[in-house]
Amino acid sequence: MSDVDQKLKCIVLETLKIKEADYHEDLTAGDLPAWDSLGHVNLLMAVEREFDVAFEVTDAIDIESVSDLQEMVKKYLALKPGA
Amino acid sequence: MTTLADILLKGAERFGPREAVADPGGTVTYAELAAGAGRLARALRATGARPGDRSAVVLPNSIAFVRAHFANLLAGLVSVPCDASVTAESFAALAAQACPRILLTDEAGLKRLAAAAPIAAAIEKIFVIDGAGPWSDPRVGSAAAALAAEPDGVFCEQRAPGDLAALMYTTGATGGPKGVMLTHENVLAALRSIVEFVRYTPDDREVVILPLSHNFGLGHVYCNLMSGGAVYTENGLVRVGRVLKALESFRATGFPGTPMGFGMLLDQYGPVLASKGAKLRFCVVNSAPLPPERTAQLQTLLPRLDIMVYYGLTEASRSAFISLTRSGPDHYRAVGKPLPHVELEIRGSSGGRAPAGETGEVVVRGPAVARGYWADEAQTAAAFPDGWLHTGDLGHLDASGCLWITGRLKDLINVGGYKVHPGEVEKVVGTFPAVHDTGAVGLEGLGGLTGEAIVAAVVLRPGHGFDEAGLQRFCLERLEKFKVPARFVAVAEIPRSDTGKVKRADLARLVAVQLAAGPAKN
Repeated sequence: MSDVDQKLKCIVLETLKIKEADYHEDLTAGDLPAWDSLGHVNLLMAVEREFDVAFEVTDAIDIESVSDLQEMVKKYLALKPGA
Repeated sequence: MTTLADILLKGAERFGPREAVADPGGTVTYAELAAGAGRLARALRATGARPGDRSAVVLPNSIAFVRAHFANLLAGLVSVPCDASVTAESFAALAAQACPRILLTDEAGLKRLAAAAPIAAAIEKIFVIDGAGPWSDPRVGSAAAALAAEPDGVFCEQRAPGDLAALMYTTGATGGPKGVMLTHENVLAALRSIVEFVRYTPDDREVVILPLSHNFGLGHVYCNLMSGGAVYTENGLVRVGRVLKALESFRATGFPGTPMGFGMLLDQYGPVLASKGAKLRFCVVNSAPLPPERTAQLQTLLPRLDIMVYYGLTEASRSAFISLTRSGPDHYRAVGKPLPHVELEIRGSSGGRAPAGETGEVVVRGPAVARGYWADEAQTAAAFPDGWLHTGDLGHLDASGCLWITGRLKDLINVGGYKVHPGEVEKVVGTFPAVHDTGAVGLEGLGGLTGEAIVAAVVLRPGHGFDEAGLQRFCLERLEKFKVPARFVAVAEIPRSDTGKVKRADLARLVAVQLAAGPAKN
């Protein structure tokens, strides 16, 4: 697991207050009670804080799963100056 | 049109090939919906269920939900729509009261409801909409297999307008289930007024993400099907991107929602809402007051949108209605004038009718008002003591007859339209090993949210630390999500009266101070 993926995992576990056994890359909004609409917003905000990125709202609406988050974070990190 | 089944039957006659309902998995026409519901109705009656028996639906927002609910109505059964996330414990309490003979659910619902103990013995047959089995419980069967045995063609058990159509479950004054008895006439009376006020046409297409197990969401499905319109439905804003995209791809003209939902969309997704929702003609907002600043924000974002608000309870759906757009900013806090079929008064402290401008309890009567609560004479007598529904809401009528809601007499917390009794929350939080005592309250505007959120105060046992994440996990495993406190705070003592009742106003002040002071320390 890459550093980014590992960090993301920690954020997902912490923000959604879920057990490690419930975590997988296909985990999608709505799969767990904690990943509801507010959980989703909190998760995106926590990810933005941790990686110091700000998702465009048009990108944010495409994020529905852990794997979407991984992909989006990597895309934004690659666009950062000095990346 | 004299019964709710007529909505579907007449819809199939008038609008047969037109799209009726869609969900993320597909779409059905009026004719297909009526045929599918008719066959399922036959299968329901083949179980031995008789007109007037109850049939519960535990399904997420979907075509399957709409088909199952109408199948109950066509079969002459009393439909009992339940929240898709209902816990086994809550469903057991509901089933003990409503005694449904049939349960329509899906694999996920069956798994959840039967996780700890067999599903209520009163239920004789359980139809699983999306599964083929095998199942260990002999009552469980595949809906597809049952349907295969039934012929095509319309089926409808004739019911009278005054017969019960549905039991809509809500939270009672003590936290237990309360089944609001709605007749066909009750619901149709409200629907006719809504269709007229909103000006529904066959060209309307609504994205309905409100739970269809509640009057608000289900009412919008009925209204569209009465008018020849179409509905796209899914579960709330959980997949918010998909919902926003549906506004555009479904060419939505209507989008009912809650203040909390619109607040989140405005804060997080405003530009996308403006572009994807460009064709929206109207929105209807209910479940809690829409703050004036939110109305202004929404109106600025979508200038052509007709923003409507109504006042109503499950017991008295859509009692008053207003278009905030047409009435203007002076009325942004109002909930409108009573609809033509509604008698609405304010009762002052003496119990008499209060004059314009005076605050008191809102009482309602008329053809849309429920008969009472299923198998609960005490709560029925308390809420309908004199032929009027005593709503427990405080408000006043202005000189023009417009209603303004100003407060609440009851303890219920309103979480995005879900009514939660604090006792339900306290019962679970109180069993957390580290908690000695607890009290729950609703707080407005917590963390920038629009509307109320639940905060639970806890008094810890000696030697135990404060573990907010642990408390949240504990509650998530035992309560429906909307009942789980958004925050917990550790306090030295829960303020209680001499009789031991939680003094909610004092507790609300205490937790607000505590939250403002910053995170709790272990």
